[in-house]
Amino acid sequence: MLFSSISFLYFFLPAILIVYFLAPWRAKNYVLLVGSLFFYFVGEPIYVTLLIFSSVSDYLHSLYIETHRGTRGAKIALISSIVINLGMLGFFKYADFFLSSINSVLGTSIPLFGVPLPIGISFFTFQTMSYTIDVYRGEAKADKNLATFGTFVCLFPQLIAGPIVRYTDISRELHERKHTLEDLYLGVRRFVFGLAKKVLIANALGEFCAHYRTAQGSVIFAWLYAIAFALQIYFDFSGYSDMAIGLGRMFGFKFPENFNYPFISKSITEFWRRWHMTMGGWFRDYVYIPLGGNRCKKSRWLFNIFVVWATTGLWHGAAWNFVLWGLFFGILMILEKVFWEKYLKNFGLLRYACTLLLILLSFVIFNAATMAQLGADLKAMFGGAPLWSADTAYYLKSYAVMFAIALVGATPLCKTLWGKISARYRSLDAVAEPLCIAVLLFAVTASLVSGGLNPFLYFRF
Amino acid sequence: MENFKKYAVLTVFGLFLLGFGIAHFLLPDVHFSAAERKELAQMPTISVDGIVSGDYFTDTETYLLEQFPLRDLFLDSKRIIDKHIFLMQSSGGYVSADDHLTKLDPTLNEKHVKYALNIFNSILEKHPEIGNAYYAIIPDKNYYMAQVTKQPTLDYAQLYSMMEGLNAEQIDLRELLSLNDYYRTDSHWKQENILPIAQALCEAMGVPFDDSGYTAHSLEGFKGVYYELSENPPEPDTLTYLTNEAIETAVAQRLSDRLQWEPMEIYNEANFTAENTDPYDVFLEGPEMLLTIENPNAKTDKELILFRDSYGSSLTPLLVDSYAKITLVDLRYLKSSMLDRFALDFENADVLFLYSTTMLNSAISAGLG
Repeated sequence: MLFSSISFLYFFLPAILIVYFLAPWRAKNYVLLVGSLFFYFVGEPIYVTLLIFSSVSDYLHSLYIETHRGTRGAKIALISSIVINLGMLGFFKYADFFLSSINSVLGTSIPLFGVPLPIGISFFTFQTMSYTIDVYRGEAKADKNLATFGTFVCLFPQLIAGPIVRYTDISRELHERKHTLEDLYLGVRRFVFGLAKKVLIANALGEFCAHYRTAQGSVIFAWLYAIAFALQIYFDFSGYSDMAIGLGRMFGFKFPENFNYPFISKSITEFWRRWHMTMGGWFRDYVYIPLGGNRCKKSRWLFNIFVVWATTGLWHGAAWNFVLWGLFFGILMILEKVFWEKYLKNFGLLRYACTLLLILLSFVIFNAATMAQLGADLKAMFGGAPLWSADTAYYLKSYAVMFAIALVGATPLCKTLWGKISARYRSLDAVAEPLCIAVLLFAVTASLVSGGLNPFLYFRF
Repeated sequence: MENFKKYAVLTVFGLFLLGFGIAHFLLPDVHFSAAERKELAQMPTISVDGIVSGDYFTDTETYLLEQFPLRDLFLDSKRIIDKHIFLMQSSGGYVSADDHLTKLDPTLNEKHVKYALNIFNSILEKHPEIGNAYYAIIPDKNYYMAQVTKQPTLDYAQLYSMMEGLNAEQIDLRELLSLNDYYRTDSHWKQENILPIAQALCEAMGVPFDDSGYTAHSLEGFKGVYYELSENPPEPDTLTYLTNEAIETAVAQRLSDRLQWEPMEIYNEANFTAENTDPYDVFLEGPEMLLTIENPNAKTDKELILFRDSYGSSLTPLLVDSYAKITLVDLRYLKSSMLDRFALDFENADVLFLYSTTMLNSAISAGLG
């Protein structure tokens, strides 16, 4: 079930909100657990068993670790949990990728498993793994209540597309949380704005990117495509994160932020402190630092960066362009830290422009279906196509307003302006904001009913 | 004031979510959409297989979408938002210019074109007794609309180039048509404007053609296939059909679904009603798998076998005076492998493949076979 679907918005969400708020406190987690399992079941009737297995497995592993803390058995349990989680992820997501790569390189014909990818597997395996690791490290206490732990794992707002919420982020709220008017209001507002970002902006930019693939190409069209896709994936993913955070807030949970206007970054390092922050934090805390981080020999530090970024790329998808994308950022991070940061720090605008350029190139790599397509896209961007074409003119004219909205919306400008206006004109704000919510809901519904392009890009993860 | 705002936001949100959800349950399901000319999804039946495969949930989502309350209002609103707020050139792929409406079709599907080509060539190969074979491609409206809107179009040059692989003589119609030869609100051409087309075809096929002596009959208020898909539709078209003595005395028959020959009208005004999904069915009753039109008083005793799509329905009456018998075959409904069952007489007949670029570009999905 997608958040941006009629069935979720007008049937599942009102039903679960009503049942949740009518339920006594002791039953609220059960309502969320059952509702979340149903939510996942609708999209994955078979793989819901995998979700349940993952939850029960790490619940039991963590209880064992807690009761055998400091023993060899605890370490074995930790390794067992990691192996099971990575094993599941490896089999469902990467087995066929590696097999087909081996077949390509060695000319063999090893049959592929052909197993469909369970929705959200990259998110919930990372979540449960982080829990077990945190329990082992003593940073979290093992939850003795399977239903409560299950609620954490399966919580539908963040189950299939993040943010990657750690147990420690919401452990208090799982056991005792308040429900206030303020939280409900902020949750609804965040959810609706996220929904609008996804449905009205991201989907339209997705159409533009689709047109690029079939239209008469040009250098300018190729660059517009790069900008459009970077904006599409931002609005798509940050919109979904906003919806998740908003939904969590409605139910009394405060999820961590996942995006912080990444396109205003003046360096690649800064970009990754603003983009998909929960994933970045996960890899930092559970891969980079355990490997030694930067508190080691330079060669080891470079190796650590290589591993982190290769795995980050691979996490995003079982294809070599994702690995290339990850390594691209790894190399950039190294070059930035070792070479050019000290030279560029006094050239604010140049730094910003270079960073943006590299980000755009990275997303061209990210979205290429094949290496051949990547080559063609990059070639078109750098002169391997006519400068202009009739199709470029047509589509630019058609999407100019959307580009303008997206470019402005990707900066803090709107939020800052709204904050100033609403602080100054409170009476106007009291009417304007509900009206804005109504208009956005209407526009989103119109878009959904018309059956427009509405896939969520990060589902393949 | 802050609390007022919070309650107002929550009220708006609650009204939307609950209001439309409850309305959906209270309102009866709609079976047919006149605007979209299609049956709307109904509540799917629950089954274990459907649930396990996920099909039940997919079908339910489709059902909820298509039965959403005030659906037509939301569809219109989307078009208005796209055109007037986001200033897009098209909404949902539909474009308007100079009062003409059309659907963008900017991608050439070479696989589909090749598929059609292979079917046509296989028919020719199986029937070496054919007299003369011809083909004519009807440019879709976008071909001419692009000259006004500069919209992206499919690669017509490549499509025409691919169709040169057909073992038949090409009759090129491109220079004989313009945008105004098509209905403003429909994809089809206007019969009253295609006399030059009929003449060109007859000249190429070596049969006489007389473009005089026609009487025009007009039916007002033709809302074509695009009419309901625009946020600001133009005036409805006028559907005009032409008769002459030959057309009025010709005998037409159709092969029914029970495989029996039944008499039919060449023009049937009864199909020009609000209840009929496509008023263009005035011409030869719309989609039919096999038709014959015989004119014992024709200028020749030749026979024409016409493989066609819907454009052929309005063109064929103009050829009635030139051929003693015209057999119309719609390969979407009568597969080429079944032709021999119906004893079509290819011996010395002229064969004409008359298809629009739209049909050729979607031959597989259209069910050409």
